[in-house]
Amino acid sequence: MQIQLQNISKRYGFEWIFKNVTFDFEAKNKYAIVGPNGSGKSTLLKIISNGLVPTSGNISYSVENKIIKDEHKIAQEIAYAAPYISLTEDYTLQELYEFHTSFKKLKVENIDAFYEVSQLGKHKHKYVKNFSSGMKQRLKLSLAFLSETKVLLLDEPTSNFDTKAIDWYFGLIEKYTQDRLLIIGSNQAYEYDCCPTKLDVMGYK
Amino acid sequence: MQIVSKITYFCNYTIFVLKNIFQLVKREIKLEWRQKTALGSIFIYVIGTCFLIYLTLQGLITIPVWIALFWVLALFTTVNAVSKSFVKDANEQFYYLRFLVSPVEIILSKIIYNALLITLLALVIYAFMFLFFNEKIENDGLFLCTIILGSVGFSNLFTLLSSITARTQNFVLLAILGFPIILPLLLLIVKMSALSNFAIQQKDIYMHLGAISLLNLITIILSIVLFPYIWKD
Repeated sequence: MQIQLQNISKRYGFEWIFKNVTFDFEAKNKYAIVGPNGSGKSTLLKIISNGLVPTSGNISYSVENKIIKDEHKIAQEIAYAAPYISLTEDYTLQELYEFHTSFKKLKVENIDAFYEVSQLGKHKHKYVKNFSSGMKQRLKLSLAFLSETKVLLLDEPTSNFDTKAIDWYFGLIEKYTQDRLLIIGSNQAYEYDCCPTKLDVMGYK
Repeated sequence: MQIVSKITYFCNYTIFVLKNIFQLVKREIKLEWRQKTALGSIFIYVIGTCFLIYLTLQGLITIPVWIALFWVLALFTTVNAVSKSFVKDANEQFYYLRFLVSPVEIILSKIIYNALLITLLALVIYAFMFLFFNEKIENDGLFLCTIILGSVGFSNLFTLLSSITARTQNFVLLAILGFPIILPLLLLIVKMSALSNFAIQQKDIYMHLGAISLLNLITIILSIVLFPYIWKD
């Protein structure tokens, strides 16, 4: 899937977060959105995900040069993981997996394979709200990477991670991002080493 | 042949949507059963109010007073139970649910779940009122009908309103926007309740049943049309 931003601007109250962002995200490429804290990386990612309406400008989604208009079809092709997204936390891990897979297919065959990838198997009967913040992030990343979507959006993917978990994240990047459009919002250089193209939000103030 | 394939596509799509709605309703019931936020606070409210009325108005309860008290209780429990139903889903979990299900599935599942919840609560209120005041409604079947239709009406209205308030973070909107629809709904409900006691003509009953069903249909269609615009940040 290809995503085109045309003159995207966003304003909260009287403050412009960014102005006139024009950028093409080509299918199957990797991009990083960089900028200091509070510069609007997350806001831009929310707009790219089609969840947040920009103040002005156009955003278009297309597959092989055919523009997609149906909002739900667009949503079906996007996986999004970020620290500010909350899963249904009153579920146990097992229930959450069943709930999630009843709507969206994952790239694993069954729940055991999912436990193996996410390395959360021993917590399967624990409520997600009782997970540590690193475990929650691991779960969100697993669900996003394993979704059968053409677009993968990650915001600060390794927040709350220890060194072992960061290596696990590199493994996922290598294994599950071929043939997908990957966009990472981050200010840690190691998180977006894999992305050849960078979009600096500070350039659009 | 093309028509046949279109019809099968449409049927498959409908089944798919219904399945998703079923899953979402199951989720709502499960989460409510775990937390019991709505149920817990409402049971103490219902029992307390019934007992209070029993203590103060003993002997003064006529059938019109009974009906008024019943619907006051039902309306208050509804506002309590439903007005916060979107707070979590529209804020913290919004970017999770948005990529799983379509807005129509979300709003319909919420409406169905809330209608079930309100009907259950109204029946509990009915049971308690019966226990305390022993006032017999003449035509039980018709009153049950009124309870169900009224619950669906409350559910349609307050589910849409709670989604708007959760999105805009402005809880005054609930009171202002609710007015134009809650007044005719209450009017019809009270007429129906009165009819189930002093039923004079069958024609009257059918007319009011039709009117309340149409009002419910309008609010459901309104929800389906408007909600996709609310379901964006």
